[in-house]
Amino acid sequence: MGQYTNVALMLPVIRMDNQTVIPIRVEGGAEQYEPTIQRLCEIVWRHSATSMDLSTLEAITVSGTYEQSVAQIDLGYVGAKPLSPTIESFGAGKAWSLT
Amino acid sequence: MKRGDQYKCHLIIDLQTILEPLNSDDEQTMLFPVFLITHELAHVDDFSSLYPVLKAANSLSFMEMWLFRASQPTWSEYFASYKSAATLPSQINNLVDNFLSAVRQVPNELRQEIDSYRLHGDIERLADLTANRAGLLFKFAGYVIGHLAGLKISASDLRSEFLESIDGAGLRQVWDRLSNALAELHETHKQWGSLDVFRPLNTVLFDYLETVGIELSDENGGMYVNVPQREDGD
Repeated sequence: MGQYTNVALMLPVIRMDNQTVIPIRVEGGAEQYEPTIQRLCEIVWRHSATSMDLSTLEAITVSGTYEQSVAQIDLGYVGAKPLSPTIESFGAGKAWSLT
Repeated sequence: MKRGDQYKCHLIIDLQTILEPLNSDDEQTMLFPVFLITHELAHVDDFSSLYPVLKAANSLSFMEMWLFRASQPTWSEYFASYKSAATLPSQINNLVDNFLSAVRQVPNELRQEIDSYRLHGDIERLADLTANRAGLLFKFAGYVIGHLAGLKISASDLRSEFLESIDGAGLRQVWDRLSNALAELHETHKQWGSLDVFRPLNTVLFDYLETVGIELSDENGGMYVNVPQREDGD
């Protein structure tokens, strides 16, 4: 975890194998929602980790300044953001971009 | 991102993307963040299978690699949708809407791109736009097919407009072949040995492009793109 210099908070979430942790970085104004984010991640973890290989997952960042976070981190990330222009152009106003 | 000789995934989530749904009064909307994070984690799972295959030697030609780059997101979204479907079954409605929008628009866009090519003559531009638009159509299909598979239902369980629209666009055979190719990839997901496993999926895209008037072939280590004049003027 020492590789990050601008970490606001690390919430260790135990993997289902009980051997490793995934750091959850909360930053850029998201800090006040830390309990909500932690609960959310734990719900997801219970659902997902039993049926997924997440051995390559290094960290999760929840950011209030999404674009800045992406810029700070190397290319090759897996991201989630709302409404890309591509999908919007299809008129699906309530759709989300799952990149 | 690269750590030594290993690649690692870092999931970045926009706070507003999850916060706004969590504050909603609608139960389905509140579930969206769980769906979203599960979906993105499934991409991490998929990467764990795909990465060793990308590193391994493969026998795909330049053209087949071009097709792979265009069609791989179809598999990726199929798998992520399959894994996340149970967290928000109603998301199928949005995915269907997106796909049907693409069904209505992409074939026309491809036809327009071919018309434009007759004027500008830039075959690389046509190839890039073709990969982008046809790839999008296939990717949106991948979302729907994966979500259906995750819910263990079929396209015939959707509103009747769905299959009627596919039939009306002449895409029923593409839909069926795409469904079969994705199911085949899924069956062998954890045993992939090389990118050869993507050949059936690539073939569906190859054949679809031929039907819209773009014929691909291997040539001298590269790819030849033929855009023959058609009787309908395209």
